[in-house]
Amino acid sequence: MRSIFYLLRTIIKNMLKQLLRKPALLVVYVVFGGLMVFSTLNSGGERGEGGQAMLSVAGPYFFAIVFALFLFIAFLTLNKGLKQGSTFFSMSDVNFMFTSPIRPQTVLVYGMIRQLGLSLLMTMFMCFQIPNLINFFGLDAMGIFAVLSGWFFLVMSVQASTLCIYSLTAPVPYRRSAGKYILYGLAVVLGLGFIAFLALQKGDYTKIPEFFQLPVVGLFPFAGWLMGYVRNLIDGNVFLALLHLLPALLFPAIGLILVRRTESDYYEDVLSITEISHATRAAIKDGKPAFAQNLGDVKAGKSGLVGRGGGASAFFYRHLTEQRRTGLFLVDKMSLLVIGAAVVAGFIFQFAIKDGALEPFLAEVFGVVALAYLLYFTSIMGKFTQELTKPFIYIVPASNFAKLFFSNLATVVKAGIEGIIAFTILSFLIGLNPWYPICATLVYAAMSQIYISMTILTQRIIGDTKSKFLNAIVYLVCGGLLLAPGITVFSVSLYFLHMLMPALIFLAYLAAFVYAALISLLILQLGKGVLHAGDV
Amino acid sequence: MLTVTELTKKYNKVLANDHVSLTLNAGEIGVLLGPNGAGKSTAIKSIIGLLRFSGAVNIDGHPNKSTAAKRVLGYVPEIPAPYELLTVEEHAEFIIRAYKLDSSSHEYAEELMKRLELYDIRTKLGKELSKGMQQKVSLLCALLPRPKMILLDEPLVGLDPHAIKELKIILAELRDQGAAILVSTHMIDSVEGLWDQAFIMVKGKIVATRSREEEQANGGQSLADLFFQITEGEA
Repeated sequence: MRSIFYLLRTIIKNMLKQLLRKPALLVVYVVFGGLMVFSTLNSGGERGEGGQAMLSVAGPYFFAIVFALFLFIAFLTLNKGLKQGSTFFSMSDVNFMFTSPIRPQTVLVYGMIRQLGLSLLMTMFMCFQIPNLINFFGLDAMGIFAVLSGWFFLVMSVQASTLCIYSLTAPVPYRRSAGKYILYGLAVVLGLGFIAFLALQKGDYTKIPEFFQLPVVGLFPFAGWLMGYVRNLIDGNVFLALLHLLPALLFPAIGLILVRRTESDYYEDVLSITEISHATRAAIKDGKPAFAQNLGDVKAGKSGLVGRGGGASAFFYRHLTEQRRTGLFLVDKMSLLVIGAAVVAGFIFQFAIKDGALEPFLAEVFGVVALAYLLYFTSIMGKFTQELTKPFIYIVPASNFAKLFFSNLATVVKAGIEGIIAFTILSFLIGLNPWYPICATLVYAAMSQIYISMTILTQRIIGDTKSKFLNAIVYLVCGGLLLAPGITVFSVSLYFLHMLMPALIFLAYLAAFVYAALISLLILQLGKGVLHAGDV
Repeated sequence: MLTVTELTKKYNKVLANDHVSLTLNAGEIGVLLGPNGAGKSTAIKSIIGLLRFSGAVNIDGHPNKSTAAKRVLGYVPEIPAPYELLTVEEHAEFIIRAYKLDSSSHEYAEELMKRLELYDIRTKLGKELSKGMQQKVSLLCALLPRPKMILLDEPLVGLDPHAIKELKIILAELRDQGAAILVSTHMIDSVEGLWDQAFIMVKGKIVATRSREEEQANGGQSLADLFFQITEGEA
């Protein structure tokens, strides 16, 4: 253990030294920390008689959101972990520690300590949400502590459990299958329970928050346990809170004891995912977007490329082929996220419209805005951004405009497909106008091009800089310049059409689409020089 | 010193190593050659104890995953990855502690740093090093415990000519001191004058094992000629 303590001590010491060498960064951290403490101490939350928290109007939904967030993180981590494994380790640990005479069990303890630090770091990022927790839910200092510590325990517990589950199940195929069946089985049980609850409430969506107050939901692994911890801590029931926390700590603890007892050879289990993480980090360090992903299950199947396309359009067909191999037809997991968001938005809007809190035409607008916001995150990881990191787009003998156009086309087609599905669902749930799915999809697909245009314009202005800060600033400015006229055109036409000719309100969407399409084509034309300045 | 017996490694349905057997004696340099995808890295990772496999690997008479085996084993990975927040000399200090080396190792660490041209940058952090320098840190850490068995996975990639020359000298010295050294590499020319045993892998199997004596008796065929003769015949 002496060598491990030396390693940890030296890393922390050097980290602090590094920080002292960058006073500006230190000032940012201090200011950030001060603001967080200040906003927490001056929180709007109050405590009633008996020490119970006074949650705001959004309070009833708070625990539903906490449960959903915890469930999302836990399910994704465990599901991914069952397939790929999980790791507490870096490539340096693999190279130096795994091959040294330090006992694997001791290395595991080191990994746990390291993971504890990473979980703390992730919890610090959650601190950004403190103002939102105060403003939207009226949480006080205890409430914020409950959420942040719940988050910390979730990250820690789920990561540790994933490593143990993978390490104990990976060597025996039927154990792995059993692990998957248990995970999906639990998800199905929860889903059926939710549907049964809704049926008992005769479909009254306003009763949804009550589902998350049911004691049995508090027994659900990870999400239920830790939501119970957060809820009871906020309610002032410390004993019950600790009782809910106990299984979240015991589960990974028992797992780690089993890994130690069975002397499970976990090095191989963490190797692949550690190599992927290392490659991802190296790409980010080089200023390239991190696209490293586990493509282990992807099968080649039919090419779909042979005999299709020529010159610049070969990029489009290649993207289609890749998309078909890694996704479902032309959509992918991110599209499912967009469609899922449309379903959630549909229920919320339906409730708000019934309640008289929202006009249908505003629900239409919010739907487009919310999904276009999500689209931003999916399109910046899209095919075009990946294409810029490879040499082919710079060297294929075709016009730059054509190469930019065709390397973007798959993103537009994908956005079009996921848009039409998502907006049709939204339209069906809220009972919107029949033109809505088509017009909203046109705006949505065109928005994917605006985001790409922001990337092209940024590259044209600053070239290939590794300064993330400068890149982010210029990117935001470009976004403002490109989006502001479109938003103005859309808002003004929406306002006047709503006031004067509500039947023709779809024209506002078409105007936004035309603007986005034209400005994107213009940026493609003006920005084609980006392919002269590439530094792959 | 190194005995690999019937090493078989499967990744789901892919057979990466198929009943690989080899022996390397003390004071010998073995080269593991093979085309891309032949299974060299899998074999190295199995020998070093990072992978589960069937068969047996013994180092200095101990099973490869035992502490006793690891104590006499040095490993230079294909992907150098020093601790970003440890300086070069702190890497050496960590290894001295991890392997519980005696106090004379500090002097040896200094000597190695000088030979590998790391001494002047010994206070630099891992994250500040170029890839070549990172590779040298891997070498420093592998050689510091004075291992009896050294595994090097593509050790010459990223090294400058001076470092390659120095590495070859160090490997020859270690061999003369009785260490067994197994080098996996694509760069056949760079190990031409250095090898005692050559193991040629194709499709997960060792298809040929040659000793330098055998090759000299057969007219002194070069390693490259031997490699192409065997791999092209197998392809």
